[in-house]
Amino acid sequence: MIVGGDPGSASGGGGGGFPDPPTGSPGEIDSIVRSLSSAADDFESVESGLRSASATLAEDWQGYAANAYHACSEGLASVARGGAESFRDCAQAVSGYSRALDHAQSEIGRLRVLYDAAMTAEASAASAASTLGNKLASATKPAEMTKLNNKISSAQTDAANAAYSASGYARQATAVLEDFTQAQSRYTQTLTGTTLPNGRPGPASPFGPFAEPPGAAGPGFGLPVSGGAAMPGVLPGVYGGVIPTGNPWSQNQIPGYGAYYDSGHQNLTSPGDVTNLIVAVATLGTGGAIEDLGGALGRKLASLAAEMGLGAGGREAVQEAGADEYAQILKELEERGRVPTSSSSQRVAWAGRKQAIQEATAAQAEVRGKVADAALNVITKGGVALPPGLHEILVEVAAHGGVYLGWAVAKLVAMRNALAGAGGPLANAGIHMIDGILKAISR
Amino acid sequence: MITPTLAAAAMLIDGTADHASSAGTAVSVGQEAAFGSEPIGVAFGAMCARAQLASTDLEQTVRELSSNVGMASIGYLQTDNGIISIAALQYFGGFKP
Repeated sequence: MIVGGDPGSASGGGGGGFPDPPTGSPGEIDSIVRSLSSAADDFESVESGLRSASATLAEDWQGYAANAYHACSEGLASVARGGAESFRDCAQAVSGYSRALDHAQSEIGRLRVLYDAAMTAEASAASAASTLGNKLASATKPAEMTKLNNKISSAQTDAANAAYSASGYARQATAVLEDFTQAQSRYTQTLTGTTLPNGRPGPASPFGPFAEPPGAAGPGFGLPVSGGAAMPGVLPGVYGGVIPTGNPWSQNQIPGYGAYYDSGHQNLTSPGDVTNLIVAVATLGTGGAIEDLGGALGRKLASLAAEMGLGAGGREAVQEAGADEYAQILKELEERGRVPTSSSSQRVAWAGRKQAIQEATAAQAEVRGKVADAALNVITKGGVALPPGLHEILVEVAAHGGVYLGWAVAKLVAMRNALAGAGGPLANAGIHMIDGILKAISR
Repeated sequence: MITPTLAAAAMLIDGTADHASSAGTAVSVGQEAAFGSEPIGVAFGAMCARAQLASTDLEQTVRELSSNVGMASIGYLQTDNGIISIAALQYFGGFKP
């Protein structure tokens, strides 16, 4: 009789009370460890490369723009440092798990051989006792009966001893499996960001501007974490090297900062801000929470491309239509008392710089178009499938953003209203995204 | 006109983006099969997803930083209010944030 009992194996029982070994391949997991270590090396290379580039520029580039760059580079290097540390922590955990798995599998395998041998011995002894019992039933001579009784007793003892041994092997295997399960839990906590092998409170805690708080549900590998989830898309806005300029009306006299809306309003914007709109729309089209909208979004973009008359001289028509729609928005906002009247005098002030603005705007348009085209080509080569029409739209909007600004805002507002009417989590995600776009272009 | 130091720095920065991309490749999906049916495989898969997000974000940010330094090398600055000409900026007296 085997008394190993239920081993409580996560892998399920087998062999009549003997636990199954844990599944998985230590060899393949060791390969993963090497990959994680390599990824940590890569992030450290990013950090060192950024610091090296900053060092080369320290003497040759100075001023406000240079300071903005150095702040971005330093922050990004810290992010890479934090990410590298997360990779190292996870590599250490996976490596420890691989060793624990290898030990559990080999030890349980060894005990299984002994267990099977003991079970065979028990069965053999029990069979022998049964055979002897049959002979005893037909025996007539007292001496023969005594001899058979002794043999039966011996066989039964052998069977009991074998069963006891088998039970012991099963219990040992169960203990090995329990130790492994506990180890697995510890290593899993590292991968999920609860604890670290060396006792630190959470992955990347000592490093990086976005170090996770203790107990955060998952390492962010340098990304900010909110509510247990990493937040992609934040880094480019913070560390992408965009130079903050503040309020263009009151503090800067730079061409290209002419604003159609007063900066005091939430949805106010300027032609230059269309760059932000491009980034936001690109994000909208390539992933994130609204990925499921991809099909509909793709059709919408294709429709917008056609509406914009790309390549067919439709820009003037769009400009006219956009101006009408934009005027309607302004009118509605004014009726709600949300458009300060001081914007008029500011527009007049800017009009005096018209020639310089036109020249700078033309240069900007050319650069925007080229940069957008190049960036989108890189994205496409990187394997990101852009929705139909998005590339053409972004290049067009990048080069001639001012023309489409009113039209674009009107479209966004219309889309937001439609989504608000539809309701549901996807619609809410879309509304959230559009609000983000409007907010981004309102600075 | 190109400012060589800035252009060189832009290239150096762009080179580091390849490392970020390589890190993302190292944690590609599907490796959790090595963990069999053990629960840690689920945690590992989620970890890989987060690591890939971070790698992609880091690569994108590094490339943007490189692009913006590269633009500065040819006379344009990317600001939160759009791209501006350094020549025009200097003409109007520089940043006044």
